[in-house]
Amino acid sequence: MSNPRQSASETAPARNGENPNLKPVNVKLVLLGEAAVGKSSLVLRFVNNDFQENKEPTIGAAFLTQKCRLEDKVIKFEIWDTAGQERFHSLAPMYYRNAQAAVVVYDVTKAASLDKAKSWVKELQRQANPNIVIALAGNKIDLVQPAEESEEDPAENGREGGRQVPTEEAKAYALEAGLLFFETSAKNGDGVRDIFVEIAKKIPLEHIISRPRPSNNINPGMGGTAGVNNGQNRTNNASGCGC
Amino acid sequence: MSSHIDPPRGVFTLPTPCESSNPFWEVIKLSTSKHFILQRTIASSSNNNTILRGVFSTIHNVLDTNASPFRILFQPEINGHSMQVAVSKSQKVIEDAWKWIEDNLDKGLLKLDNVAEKVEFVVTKINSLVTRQDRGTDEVSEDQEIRNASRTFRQVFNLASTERLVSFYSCAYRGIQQGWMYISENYLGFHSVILGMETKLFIELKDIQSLVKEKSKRGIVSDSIKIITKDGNEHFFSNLFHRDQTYDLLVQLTNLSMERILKNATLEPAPGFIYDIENFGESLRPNTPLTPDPPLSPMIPPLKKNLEDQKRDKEFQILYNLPITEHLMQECTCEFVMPETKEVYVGKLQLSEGYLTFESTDKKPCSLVLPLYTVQRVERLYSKTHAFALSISNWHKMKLLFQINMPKTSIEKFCMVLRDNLKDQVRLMKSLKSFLNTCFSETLLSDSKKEESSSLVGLGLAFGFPGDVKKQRDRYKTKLWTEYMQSNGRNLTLIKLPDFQKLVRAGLPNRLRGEMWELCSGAMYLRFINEGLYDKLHQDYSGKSSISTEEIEKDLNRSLPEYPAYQKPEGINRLRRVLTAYSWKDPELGYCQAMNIVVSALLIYMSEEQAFWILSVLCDKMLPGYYSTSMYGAILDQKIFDHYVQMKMPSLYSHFQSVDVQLTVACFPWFLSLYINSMPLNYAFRVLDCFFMEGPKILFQIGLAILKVNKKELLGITDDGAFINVLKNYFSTLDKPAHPDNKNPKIREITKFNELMVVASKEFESITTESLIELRKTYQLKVVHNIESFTKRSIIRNLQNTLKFSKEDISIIYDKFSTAQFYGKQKNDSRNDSRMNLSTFYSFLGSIADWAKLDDDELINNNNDTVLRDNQGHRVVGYKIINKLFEYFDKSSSGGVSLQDVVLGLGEIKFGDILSRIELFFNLHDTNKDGYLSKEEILQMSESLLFIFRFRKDDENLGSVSNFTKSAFIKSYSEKPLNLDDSDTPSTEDDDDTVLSLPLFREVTLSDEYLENFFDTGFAATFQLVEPVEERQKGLGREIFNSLMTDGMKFASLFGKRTTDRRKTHNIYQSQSPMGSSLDVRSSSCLDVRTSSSRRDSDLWYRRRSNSHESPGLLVVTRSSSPDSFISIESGRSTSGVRRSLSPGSFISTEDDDDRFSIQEVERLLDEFHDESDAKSINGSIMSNHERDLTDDSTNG
Repeated sequence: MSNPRQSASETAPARNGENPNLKPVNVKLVLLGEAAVGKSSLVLRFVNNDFQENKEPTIGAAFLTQKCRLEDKVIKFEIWDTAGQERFHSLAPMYYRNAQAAVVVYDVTKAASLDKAKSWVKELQRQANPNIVIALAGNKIDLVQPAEESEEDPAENGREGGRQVPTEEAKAYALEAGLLFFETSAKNGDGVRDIFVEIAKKIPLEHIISRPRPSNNINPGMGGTAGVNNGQNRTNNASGCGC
Repeated sequence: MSSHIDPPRGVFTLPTPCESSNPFWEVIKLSTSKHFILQRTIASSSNNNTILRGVFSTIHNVLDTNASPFRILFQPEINGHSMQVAVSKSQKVIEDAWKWIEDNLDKGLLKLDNVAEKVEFVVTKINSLVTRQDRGTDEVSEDQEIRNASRTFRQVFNLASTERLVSFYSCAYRGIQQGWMYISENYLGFHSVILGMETKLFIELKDIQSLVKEKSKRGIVSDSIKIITKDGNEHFFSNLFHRDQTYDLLVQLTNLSMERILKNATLEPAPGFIYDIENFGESLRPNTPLTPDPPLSPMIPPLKKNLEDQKRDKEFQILYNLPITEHLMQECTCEFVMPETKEVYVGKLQLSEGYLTFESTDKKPCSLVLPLYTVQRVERLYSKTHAFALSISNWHKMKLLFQINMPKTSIEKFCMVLRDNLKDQVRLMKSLKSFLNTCFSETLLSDSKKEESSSLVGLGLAFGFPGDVKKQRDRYKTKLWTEYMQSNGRNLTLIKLPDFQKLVRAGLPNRLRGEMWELCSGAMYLRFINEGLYDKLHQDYSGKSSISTEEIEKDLNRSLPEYPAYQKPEGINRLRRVLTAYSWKDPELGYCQAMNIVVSALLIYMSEEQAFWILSVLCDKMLPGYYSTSMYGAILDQKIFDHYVQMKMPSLYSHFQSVDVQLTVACFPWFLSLYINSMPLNYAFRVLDCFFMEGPKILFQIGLAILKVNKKELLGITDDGAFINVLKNYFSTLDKPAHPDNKNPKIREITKFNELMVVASKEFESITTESLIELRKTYQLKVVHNIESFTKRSIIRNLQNTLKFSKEDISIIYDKFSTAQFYGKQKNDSRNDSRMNLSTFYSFLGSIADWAKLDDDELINNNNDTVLRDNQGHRVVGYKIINKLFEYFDKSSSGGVSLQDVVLGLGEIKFGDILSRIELFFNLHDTNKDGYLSKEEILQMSESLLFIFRFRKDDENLGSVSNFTKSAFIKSYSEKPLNLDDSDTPSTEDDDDTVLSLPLFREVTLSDEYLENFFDTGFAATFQLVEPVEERQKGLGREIFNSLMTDGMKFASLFGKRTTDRRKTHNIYQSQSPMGSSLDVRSSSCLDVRTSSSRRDSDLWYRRRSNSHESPGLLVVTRSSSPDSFISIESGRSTSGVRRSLSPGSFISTEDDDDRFSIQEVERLLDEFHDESDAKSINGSIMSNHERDLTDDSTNG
């Protein structure tokens, strides 16, 4: 795995206008997981290569998009970042219906969050699109990395216990359930991009391309990219996937 | 001899006058004193004439709801008026009542000669009996019709006496069957009997998914209601004379059950409960003190009246935003004269405990709420033009004049209530002064400008208010408000005139905003009457934590982070305090994301305590269910928003449909966070101004206006992303001119926000609070059922282990589990627990296993603690075995069983093998867990087995159980030496010296084919997960037709026959059969097993006779092998008192089954046993005795 911090800014952003032959393939992706495991932060890292300490909680769901180049194709992720609080659970089906991919996030410093993740996986496998690609992401590994790093930013949540979910355990589960597996840190960017790259590889794109999709004809300036980060997407800072 | 046997329950009625010589009733017998008459309906009489029965029951059913075939009348004077004192469906029960009356009343009557004395004697006796037995049930309802109908309803549908009937209506089902619709607290029943065709329909209100008013008779007459239940069945009721009333009632009741379902349908325990268990249950709801049991009053008002009052009070509270503690007590029309302008308004004056309200009914709007604690002086004026005038001055000397035209008596009453209420409010008046200090309006109006303490005002004063203060013309608005308040009152006493609305719509001045929100929403009244509660919550819960407090911590740093105060401890601490206090106040709601956003916005304009009470009004009244754990309110309002969009903008709606875009993805956060994180803050607050003044309809109007304004662009979108994008762009340009190219500079000044507000109020005026409330009612059922089924799916999905159960089985177990929980919860209203407690477990098990069905009356009248101690319980054995099963299911000994526990427990029984089930039974009865069954435990085992077998029609079970008891005792002897070693230690408290080990128990059970079968398959099979097909109609038309042919001949001789029948029956009741052999056994109570065999049926039942004075001990085993031969053993010190009917017979052992036990053997065993246990008063003894089936009209030949 390459260092995401470099690659994110180095790779050329994939812009719609750049190559007219590369019509982006839309992939609907949903993020699920317990509250405050860092779903929104993962998206923010992926979309803006940014990290905010105090991110407003997601009410209902947030919608962001990010393009990503994979070999000769451009994939546009339409990301639904859902609210994590248990009571928003009943809304989730609205967001994961028709999703081609899902990232189920847990917090490596909180064992209970993996249980919740497992129950999300179960739900997705039973209720969602049968071909859905599911990735399991253990976030916040920065909190359990070697001392000097974590001491710089003392974990304010005071989880003195450090890691509660061993990598092997989660990996074994992912293998058994047929999921992609990653450990990530939205804070320093470790592993974040890999999730989306691997998902992009695994998704049967031909299937999606063949699906008729109405084109956007209003307001070409928006070009179908939407969301809070819309403006930044089109600036020089915008990061594409280097894949 | 006066009997000490307790009177049977559920038979006696309050003495109700009735016709004694009704052609539908025939007399069965007369009491000795001739004052009591036992009657039965001709329709129920035992002769087999179907036609006559059919005709009579049809007439009976159509005319009268009373379907009980037996009744007892009291006739103070021979051939005089009668009073009904008891009714029953069962002859057995009425016989018991009859016996009790004969023993207790009839003899007493003989001593009295005066008719009045007799009446008094009987009426008092029966009244006290009924009110004691039936406290809180319909039996003591003031309304006689309800009393009778309720009884019929409960009997027809076999319901517990605690089920209260609300109303009943004559109607037709499916357009043809005319009958009665009964609506009770929990159920809807329909019953009709037309020419022998009985139709019974029973719907649980909680399963109703949709209620629709319909037209019948080819769509001409609006007299019908269509009901759709959860399982998709449609039921059509027509000929409803009071259709709308019926509909409203059903809506009200179903909504009540919805609320309970929602409580049930949670995935998690109440998030706001404290972690430490010690203080559980204490001080959880500080604002609702435990109400002591209401005093025992003999009569209670019918439930329907309660519900009507509730509804009326609720409307009253909503209209004036009053606390839910207020009830409408008095009302009258009056003329209100404004203090300054002397303008007159005609309207309605209403009075509740703490408030006097006025709302104009003529064209000039005017509304006022006057808390009685602000009233300083009330004068009664005599005016020439009006009958009466009230002049009320409040604390700031504003005089309000009400002129009333009403009859004198009504006015007197009104004044009396007002006076009393004023007196009660005096205690609150002393808090008025300190309260007014927290109102900015007082500062504004007083001449001396004093500085307020900064903790009592919002953060805005120190950290600034969002938006441009100059542009908002804050100072000018403040001036206008000052003027308004000078003439129309302030804060608690403000009168709302049309100008008020205009001023609010223009945007409130920053400093007044908090106070006006508080006043408009009614939160101000709550804060006033709950002075100090907010601080107390902090004191009581300081240092405690819960799921909610953890969730709150996660979000504190991320609430309106762009507002400077929320990057500093000052702001964050306030936010934390308000949110945690609320999570303690309403632990079932706890904390929901979005509340942080709403509260952080509120805190800019007001103090913590003010924000706390507004939050409370939001959660309870304005946005009910928005932030609850199921969020049903928010989901419901999304459905309604969808509905409105479809109605108002059909083209946009169908476009969204065609591109598969859901409105909710964008609109959900608007509603949940009241537009606060969608629009720029200063605009969001303008929306909030209107929202607090006019209620939740504003959210809809604004939402619709947003879509309308952007309609053109929205018609072009093709996916969710574009949809969200359009809206985001729009929100970010709200301050831009709506018509930048217009030539008129005035029009160019209009911002998009101004335009939005105009569109919202002008174009969507038709969205009113009333229509919203209606729609909420209509959609609620569906939304709640969706949530319920969603919860069901996720709970089932998250079960760790489902053993070999199929999906359908698990689904049925879940349904039974949640149904038991649903009805269990309301009774003890315990905290939100996903586990069943013992009493709920009783009803759960009863719903899947026939043998576990306990007498509901017993179950409900005794709460589970007292059940075991209660000697009156006829089903003590049943409770025992089920208690044991409960303990077995409750693997963690937590006092409750979860769905998982139930699945595992049932699975082990169903999927285990014969040996595991034998072991299970052994363990269940090995109470002291010593690995052996003592004698008493063996007897309990026998009792349990008999209990489980009690509905079996075969006769073998008795023999098998007796045989088991016998062999178990014999086997246990062989272990005696083994046990002697143990009992060398003197500490053995259970001085049984005989025990039975598991291997021997196994041997004993397996040696009996019947028991072997039972453990092999029988026991597991008693748990029925499949819903038995309900028998809805019995007695078909064809049967009537057939009987017409066959019975036609006999028809003529009918009356003659009836008289003979009557005589025969009469004889039966008095017949006492000769005794059988008896055996003296002493025990404190006895169990009584009877097999009765008649030609048609042989049913076995047994009961525990509780009264030990009467029968010190009976242990009788009876078995009947043929209709005419049976054994009976009876014992007791007072043989005369107990023996009722025993017939000669031959002991089976000697007659046909030599391998079975012999009676002498049992006698010996039992003698031995009871010699030992004499002092211990062992509970379990078996009595079985045969009694003639009284309904069988052939006396034994």
